[in-house]
Amino acid sequence: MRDGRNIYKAQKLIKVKVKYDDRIREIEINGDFFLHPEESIADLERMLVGVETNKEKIRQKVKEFLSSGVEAFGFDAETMSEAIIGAIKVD
Amino acid sequence: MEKMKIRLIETPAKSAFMNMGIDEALMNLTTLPTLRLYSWKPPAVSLGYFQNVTDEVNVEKCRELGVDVVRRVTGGGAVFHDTELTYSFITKNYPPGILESYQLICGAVIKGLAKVGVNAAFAPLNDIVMGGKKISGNAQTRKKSVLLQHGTILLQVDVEKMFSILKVPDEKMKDKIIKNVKERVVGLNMPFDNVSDGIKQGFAEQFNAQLAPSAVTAEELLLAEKFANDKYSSTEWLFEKRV
Repeated sequence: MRDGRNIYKAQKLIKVKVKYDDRIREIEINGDFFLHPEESIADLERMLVGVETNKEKIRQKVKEFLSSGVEAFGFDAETMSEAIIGAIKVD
Repeated sequence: MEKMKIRLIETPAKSAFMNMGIDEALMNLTTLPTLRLYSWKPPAVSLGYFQNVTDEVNVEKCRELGVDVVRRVTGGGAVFHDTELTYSFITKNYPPGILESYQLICGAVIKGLAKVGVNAAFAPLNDIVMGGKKISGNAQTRKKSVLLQHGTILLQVDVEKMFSILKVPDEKMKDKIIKNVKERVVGLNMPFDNVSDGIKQGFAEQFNAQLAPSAVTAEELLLAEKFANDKYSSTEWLFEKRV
């Protein structure tokens, strides 16, 4: 399992810490963005665990999360998935 | 037509934990739109909901300097609250769009600043600037159809002290970051009471409202103390957001 980190500047800053092999095993998403309800960030992290380390798969998951009735301010599916994939080194 | 009423609460300087506790208690209990004006004693760092405290703050240094560290219920960035005026505004009546609601409430602050001769402007997503420099950061949350927006209006800024407490992503870049912040962030350099008077007028004008001075009720205070003791001053809340 590998460790990855990324600091990504969207409209707001997104900081990602991830443990992964061919899939995401653990992930923590921090930053100075806004998301309502705030507690739903834990749902996004849970949804990402087990997802293949593939940008399209990650983007789909983030999109699914963002269409579940939450409201993001300062990032979108594209920038969040860029931030996550940027923490993962694909061989 | 009778003007709408905004409940006005001016509290003396309080700890970070009580300040956040009062804001959350008001969100739960107040029925009128409510404007609260306050400050922090001792000085404090507040962190956005999504920030990791060990990444952002030198907690040891804060202890050494007697600076409280608290995590907010709102997103956004870390703020060093020292010489400033802080406001919170709680309302059930707000535009659904997040940007529009920031624009509306920051608009009240901007009108208030104009009353004291400051020409300020909204800088999306959530800042207020004067001459292109940031003088105010704002953050909001919405829970159970109640919106809370709180924000800081900088009176004096000590960037060196700020960065003895706040961490930077790359220590090698620290000097450059400090220089950059000095160029981009500025205090109003005005007394608290003048700015506070202006802000009150700004909210009254923006919402075509009459301000009704009020105190925190006994019930609100009790709930605020509960939030301060059980939540905001706890290490669980500060260090682990999944609670």
